[in-house]
Amino acid sequence: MKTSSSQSVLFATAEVSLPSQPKRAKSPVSNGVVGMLIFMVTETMFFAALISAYLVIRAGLEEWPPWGQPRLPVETTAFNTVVLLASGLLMGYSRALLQKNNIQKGRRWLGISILLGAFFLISQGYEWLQLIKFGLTVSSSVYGGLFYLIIGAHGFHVVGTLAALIYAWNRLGAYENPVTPEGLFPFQLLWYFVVCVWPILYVLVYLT
Amino acid sequence: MRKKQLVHFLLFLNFILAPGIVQACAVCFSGTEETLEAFYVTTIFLTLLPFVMLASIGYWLYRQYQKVQ
Repeated sequence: MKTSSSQSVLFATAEVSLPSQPKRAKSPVSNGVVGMLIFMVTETMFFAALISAYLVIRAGLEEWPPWGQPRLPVETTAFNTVVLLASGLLMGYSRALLQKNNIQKGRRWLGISILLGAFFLISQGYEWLQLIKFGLTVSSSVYGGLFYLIIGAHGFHVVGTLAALIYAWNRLGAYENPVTPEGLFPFQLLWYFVVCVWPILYVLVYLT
Repeated sequence: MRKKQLVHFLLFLNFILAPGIVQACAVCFSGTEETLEAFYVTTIFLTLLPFVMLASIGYWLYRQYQKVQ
C-alpha cells in the first residue's frame, strides 16, 4: 500500500518515544504535615503569650486567687486531664494501626479517642456552668477573666480539632473521596498539640 | 513660643503631681520586684521560644530527608 508523504511524517512522529523523565523522589514529609507544624508554631506562640500575660498579672497581685472568688475544681479537672491524655495515647495507637493499613481497627480506636476528647469538653463545660453559678465570671475579677480566656482558648481549640477529626473519621475508608491515614496525620498532630498544652495550663491555672 | 513652653511645663508638672496618669500605661500596674522578674522571664521565654521551635522543626525535617537519601 502506498502512503502519502504527510502520512509518513505522522507515523514517524507517533513512533518517536519521549525520553523518560527522571522521577522526582517522594518527599518524606507531606505538605500537610509541614503546614500543620507551622500552624502549631503560631498556636504555641498564642498560648505562650496568654501564659506570659497570666504570669505578669499574677505577679503584680498580692493575693492569688483574689479574696471572695470561688476555688477551681482541681480534682475533677485532674480526672479530665487523665481522660484527655488517654485520648492522646489512643490517637497514637490508632495512628500505628492505620500505618499498618489496619483501617477498620484504627478507625475504631480513633473513634474512641474522639469520644474521650468529647467527654473532656463536656465535663469542662459542666464545670464552667458550676463556676458561673458560684460567681466566677469574666467580669467578676481579673482572676475570672484570665481563667476563661486561657481555658476558653484551649476549649475552642478542642472543639475545632474534634470537628476536623470527626470529619476525617467519617471519611476514613469511605468509598468516595476517602481520607487516607497520611491525610489524617496533620489533624492527629493538632490533637497531640491540644493534648500536650493542657497539662501545662492545668498546672499553671489550677494548681499554682 | 512662650505658649509652647508653658504647655510643656504644665505637662511636666502634671506628671510630677499626678503619678496616677503615668501609671496608666498597660504594663505599669505594679512596680514590685515580682512583676519585674515576671517581665524578664516572660520576655526571655517569648523571645527564645520561636527560635527553639523553628530550629527543632528544621532539624527534624533535615533528619527525615537524610533518612530517605
